[in-house]
Amino acid sequence: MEYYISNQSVTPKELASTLLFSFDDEINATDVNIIYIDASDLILANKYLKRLRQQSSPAVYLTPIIFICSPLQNISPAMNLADGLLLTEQLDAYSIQQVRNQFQECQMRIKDLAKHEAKDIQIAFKILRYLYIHQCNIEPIRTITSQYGYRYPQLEPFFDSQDHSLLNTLEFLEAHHLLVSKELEKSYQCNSCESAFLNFQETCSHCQSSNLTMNELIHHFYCAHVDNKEAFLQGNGEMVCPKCEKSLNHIGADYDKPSIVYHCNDCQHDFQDAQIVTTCYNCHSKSIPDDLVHRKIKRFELSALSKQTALYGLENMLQAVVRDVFDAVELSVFERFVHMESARVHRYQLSHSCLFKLQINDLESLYLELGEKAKDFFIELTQLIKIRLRSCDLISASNESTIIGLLVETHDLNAKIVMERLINDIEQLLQSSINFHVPISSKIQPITKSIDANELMSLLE
Amino acid sequence: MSLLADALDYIIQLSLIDLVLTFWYFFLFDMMRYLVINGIGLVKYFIDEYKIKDRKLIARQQLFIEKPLVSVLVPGKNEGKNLYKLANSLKLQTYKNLELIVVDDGSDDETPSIARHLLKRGLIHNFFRNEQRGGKASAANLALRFCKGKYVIHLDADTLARSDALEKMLIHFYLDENIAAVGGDVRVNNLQASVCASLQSLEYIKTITTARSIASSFGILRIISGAFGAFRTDALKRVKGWDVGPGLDGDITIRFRKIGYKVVHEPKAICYTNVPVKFTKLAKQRFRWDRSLVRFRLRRHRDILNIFNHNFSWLNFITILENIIFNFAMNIKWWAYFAYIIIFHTNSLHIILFVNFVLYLISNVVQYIYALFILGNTIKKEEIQISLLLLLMPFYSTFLMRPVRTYAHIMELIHKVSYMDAWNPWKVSQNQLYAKKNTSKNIQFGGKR
Repeated sequence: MEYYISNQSVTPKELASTLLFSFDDEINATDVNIIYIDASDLILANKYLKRLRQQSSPAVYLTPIIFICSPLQNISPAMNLADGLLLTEQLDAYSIQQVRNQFQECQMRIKDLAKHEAKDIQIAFKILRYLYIHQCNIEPIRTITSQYGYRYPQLEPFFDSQDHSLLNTLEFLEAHHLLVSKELEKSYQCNSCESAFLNFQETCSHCQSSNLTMNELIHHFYCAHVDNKEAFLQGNGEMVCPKCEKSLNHIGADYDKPSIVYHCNDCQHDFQDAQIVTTCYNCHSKSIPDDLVHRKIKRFELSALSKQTALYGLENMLQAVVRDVFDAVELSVFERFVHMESARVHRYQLSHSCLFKLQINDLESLYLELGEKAKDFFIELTQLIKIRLRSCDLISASNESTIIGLLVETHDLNAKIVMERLINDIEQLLQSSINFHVPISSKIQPITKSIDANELMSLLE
Repeated sequence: MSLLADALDYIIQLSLIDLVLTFWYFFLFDMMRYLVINGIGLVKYFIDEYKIKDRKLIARQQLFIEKPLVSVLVPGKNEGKNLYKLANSLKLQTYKNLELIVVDDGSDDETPSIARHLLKRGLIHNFFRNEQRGGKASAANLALRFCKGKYVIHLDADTLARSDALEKMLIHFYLDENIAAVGGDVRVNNLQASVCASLQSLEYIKTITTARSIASSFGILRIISGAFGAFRTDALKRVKGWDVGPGLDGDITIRFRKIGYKVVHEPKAICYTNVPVKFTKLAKQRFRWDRSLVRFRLRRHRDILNIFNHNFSWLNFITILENIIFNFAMNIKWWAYFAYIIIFHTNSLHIILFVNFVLYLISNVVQYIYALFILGNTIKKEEIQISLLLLLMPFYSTFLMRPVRTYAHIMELIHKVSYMDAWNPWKVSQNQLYAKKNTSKNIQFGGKR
């Protein structure tokens, strides 16, 4: 099935087979092959495209989207967020068929995924899937419409705003070897707002004024006289040495130009090495080149690992870190231990053991904030937890953001104190290292003789 | 001992006339010039110093009240390794209002980065670099073009000035407004590095400290050392800076004199420099230096000897003539004397040479004593320790310096080798040589004041 999104009430005859939707309609169907969007109002079209890409259903957000626009619109590559463009004058059966052919394989891959009826929430994962499904590389496009001086337009609709999130996500995927990059060029960006639009000016090394005159020096070989070129120039354009009054006819034979000297018209200082100062067009802050942000502009491609990951899911980083640092047990093993502990408590009726759950919510925003540094942060976080727990306690991770544990011989009141301290530690870590806040919740479940192990685990959910 | 006994017997049996005829070269020229005239000059020097003692104190006060900006110009190639020491030595000067301008004349080592680092740290006030070497004169002229000081100190990067050296030189500009340049006293820093360096130290004390102080006292100083000299900036700009060398320091001194300025030497303004430690290097250096007598005194400034010249000055005439007689003509005469004793005193040649050695040794010792008077308490322990090497000085002067000087004079007279010296870049030498062949026009520098 193909859809056509437009505020017009009539579908172009070439797209007669498509279903017509307005920009107010939601698309939730899983059987859509291609979505054509009337891009005569580009802002509206891009907005709608963004809504589609931000859905969690792979069948929707991965669907190829084609803009239909007029040739007069002259949409630049940087502004084209869709997978393809069709000009209204090209709109014929042949080009429609070409589009269908182009995305045929892509649709097959989407269908395979859609069978699972999964919901994809992690943006990094969605981007990886999108790149895999569309088998495309991500090329930066130079543009003045982005303060960074370049954009990755195809991926922008996955994000709410144009901030660091897109670049951080790409770096995150690269750090996990899911994308490989090739550096195309380096960009100097403002250290205050990261704008790439900078004015480089030569300034006086004494007073920082840019009111400079650049003078070419002339060295007359015969008498060793050195002065500004103006001192040698006569009214008729000839050069005569002011010292020995000989004519300077041939550069290299009579004279040379050994260097350039700047003269500051404000403080009268003469110097050779002008200080380069940049002024940001965006935030007007001044800086020297050494202090600018040097960013690599990269082209990204799918790596050998990306196919498996795109198909079967992004490995849970927190889980992986917990497993590595704590030597944590698998969830099934953990459940068996809970059974055993429950039986022991029930049998002897002397012990007070507790289960705990620690959940870091909105991990997505943390990934986006930290990019490739996310792994380092999680290692630090798990080490904090390790300090608070004893070697006899048991740890596992139930999902990507939840750590569960068994505190043996611990009263629920003491377990609560441990959890409070732990949450406090984590919040402090987030605050001090990245000045960031994510909601963290915890739950304590005492192991009592009246509740069996399965129930205990479900109560912890 | 038998040689000494033979020599004594030989001298005793000679009449006074025979003695003079046999050792005429020493008695008529060297003794007269270096012992008698220098002795008189030394007395004059101390009388002059006594006379201006109070005025020097007032001049010093004036200097420190006015506190003019003084530009220290350091042109050179591959001198980066010396710059930090140099900059620090200037910070220790008693006279503080200085701007240090370094010109890198096409260095191919770390000099540019060292200089830029020192510039950032404020140890150097301005730094200019010529990507292509242009020669010492053009580098100095570049610094002169952009300096802002009322006075200029021209300093070699490998020289270290004593803390009161700049002050001692600058005072002279407040003693006499007609003084355009003051020469500093250059002494040897690495005098203990080798015998060669020690001998040069003795030579510097004799030819710079003593000879220039006395020449200055007589008003016939002919050179302000390129390694350490102070200049009035307006006078330097009037003569339009330095001309192509080698020998540019002597040349500019004569040009000052020609337009009526005075030049003086200040033996208490001391700087220390490193000299060649090997005789081969020393010979090359002197081969370059000695050619300037022919290039500048005999060729470029021979008009000074023309008594009909409208700018004629007897002092300038004597300055050049003394130089030509004692460094050029006497040098030729020495070879004639050598031939004379070989031909006419073949049998007693060894005795005559021995007596000559003794006479020149005595001359050197007396000159060293003269120098001690001038050096006063500025003499260093090491400079006294090497005085034993005065025994070698007759050999040093006769068998090393004299042949090199003679060779340099001949080569310059016949082949104009100074115009092909690698000391200047080839583009400059070539231009000089070409211009000399194609024009007889002399360069005119300013008018009479």
